[in-house]
Amino acid sequence: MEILSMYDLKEGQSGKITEVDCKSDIKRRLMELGIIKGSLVKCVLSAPFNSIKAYSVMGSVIAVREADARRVTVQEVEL
Amino acid sequence: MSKENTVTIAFVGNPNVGKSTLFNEITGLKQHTGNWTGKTVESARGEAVYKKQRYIITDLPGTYSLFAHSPEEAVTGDFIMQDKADVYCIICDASCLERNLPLVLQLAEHTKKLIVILNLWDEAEKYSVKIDINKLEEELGLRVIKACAKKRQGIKELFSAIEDRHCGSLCVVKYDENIEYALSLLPDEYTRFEKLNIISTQKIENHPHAKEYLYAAGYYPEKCEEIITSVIIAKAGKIARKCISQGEERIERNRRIDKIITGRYTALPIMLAMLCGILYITVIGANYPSLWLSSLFSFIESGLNEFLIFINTPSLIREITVYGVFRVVCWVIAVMLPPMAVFFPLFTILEDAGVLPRIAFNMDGCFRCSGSCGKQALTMCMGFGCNAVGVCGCRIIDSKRERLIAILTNVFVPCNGRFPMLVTLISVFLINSFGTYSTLHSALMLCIFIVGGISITLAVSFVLSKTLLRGIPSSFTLELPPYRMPKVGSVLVRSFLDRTLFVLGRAVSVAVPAGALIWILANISVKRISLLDYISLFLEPFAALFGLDGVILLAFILGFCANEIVLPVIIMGYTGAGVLNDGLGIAALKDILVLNGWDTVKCICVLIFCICHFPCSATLLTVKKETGSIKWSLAAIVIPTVVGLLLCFTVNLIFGA
Repeated sequence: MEILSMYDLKEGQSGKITEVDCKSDIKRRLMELGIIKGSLVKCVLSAPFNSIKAYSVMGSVIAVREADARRVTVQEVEL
Repeated sequence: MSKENTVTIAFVGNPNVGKSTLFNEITGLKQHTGNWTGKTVESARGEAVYKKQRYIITDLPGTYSLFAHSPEEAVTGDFIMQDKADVYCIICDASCLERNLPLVLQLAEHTKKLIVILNLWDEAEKYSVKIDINKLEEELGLRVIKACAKKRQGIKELFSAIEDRHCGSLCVVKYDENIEYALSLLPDEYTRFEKLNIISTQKIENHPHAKEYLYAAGYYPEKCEEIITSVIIAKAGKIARKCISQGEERIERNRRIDKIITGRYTALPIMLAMLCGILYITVIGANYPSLWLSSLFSFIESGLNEFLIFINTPSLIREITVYGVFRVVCWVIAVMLPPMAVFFPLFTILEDAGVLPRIAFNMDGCFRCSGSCGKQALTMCMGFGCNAVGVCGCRIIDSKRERLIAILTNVFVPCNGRFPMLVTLISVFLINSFGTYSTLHSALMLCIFIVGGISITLAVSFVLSKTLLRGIPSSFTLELPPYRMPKVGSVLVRSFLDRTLFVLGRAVSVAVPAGALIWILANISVKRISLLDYISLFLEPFAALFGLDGVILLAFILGFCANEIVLPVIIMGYTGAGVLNDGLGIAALKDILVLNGWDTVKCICVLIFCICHFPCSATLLTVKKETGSIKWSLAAIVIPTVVGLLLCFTVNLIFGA
């Protein structure tokens, strides 16, 4: 299993979060949304003109910017 | 807390779970919810009577967590800590329950008086989400009720559950040893949730014993919060897996729509089409009611006039009242009300359908480059309806910096009040095929000016983010909720009450003194020259620098009460009529303007200044209220005015005669 950043997940790929290494503000925000060590995320959408991707986590869809998504490490999982 | 014969209920829940809908259904829409784009910022209160029992219901702002990090979360957190309600209802979105469970668990650690409501049950069924309610009740130890607020289902059950008062038991989540031990060190008068709140915030400072222990283990408040949250989320996941089975169908359908709305090739045309469509429907659809209102008001006006003559009112007071105050107020209402009454419901329908977050998602890149965020695209769109509403809508932007940028630049989007003036002037001066004038051509010109306004917004945002509001763009996350069928009835009521009347009220309150002032300026003469002429002569040399003239500048200044009256005041100034008049044809208008030295360059300068000048009174009041600071309110005046003057100056310098 490969270790990558959450941003590296392509549409349809899933990963289990191993670390969230963001500043405390955004970390907290992501945490509330369920993007926290141990949870499963699936990349579902990337925006047309820019580097923001949307992830399905805990049954809802959250968009996160590249800069932030790059600081979240995931382990790819097959579902 | 409550009076003997009333029961107080508090509604808690994640954002966007239909909390306010349920609230409105129960309280019978009597309540002004203060709802802006899916966000209840202040808590709303309402009353309901069921089986002769009076209930007071508080609708708290939506939140994901009871650990407060933003003002609206603090409202909810404080309310719960102070235990203000007899019963708490936690509203969940049944179609994505897992997401809602952490909040349920958090609240269940604080109070037993808790009822779980699975709202949007119909939607869950539609997308074959199956929830085993008995199992869920057992896992949580709480009463669980399924409901569908839109269809008024589940409300009876809710009230009978409240009557029971037998709500549930404390649900305890087990954390790791260090946290559990630290919790045991804290005094027992706190509830478990309060203890958790203490160890994960700076409140720990007041409890040296526990603090010492936690810090020694490396458990700083931030780390505690992370651990607590991850345990809760893991537990939520576990419960979800036991009780919920979800079909993939719903997700697939949402993704299919997403693929179109956010598609590489389709996104831009769709967004443009939506914007143009809304503006077009607004302009066309508002025309007729505007005309009806005008004729109604002129009928009332002559009646009022005769009545005042009948009761022998001095003619000065009569004329100020009728031709000054009444006429300006009616003008503002007739021009302002219909477009807003059309625009905002359309906008709210898009909002309810879940389209708007996708637009923010698409546009984020664009706004990120100018130091802002995608949600600004939405507040700008609201600005097309009314800048005051746009400014107010900036509440949806989480971080303070980006919110301020959006507030200060909102006025660069021409609102409904300025649209007619832009359209009229464009068709008078910038269309060659005048006479058989082409709608397409004028629409194109209008687009150029709007796109210009948007570019200025981006440029000013960029400059602001590098100067006054320097700093790293802060966190931006956006939830893309599932697409939903909007409920048209409640949309109409909500957008009308919350937005249209609110802005209209503010505008009218300023139009009253402004109407009197305009009449006095135009009709009081010294040496046979009216005050209006004196002031415009005085402003003339300054205005000429920017390709405008004294009358235009004065009209914009008087237009502070509402931008709708700018063009009428200009015409009044030129014709010396003394009262506002409409009903001029395009040709007559062109004659008057040309006679007063207008040419294409002057027209362009006026159009530019129309887009870039100080906000109207309603908007400014809103800026003051939203920022709570005089400094930023001043900035909201100075920035657009300076930009507008600079642009006009440049245009005039290059192209002017």
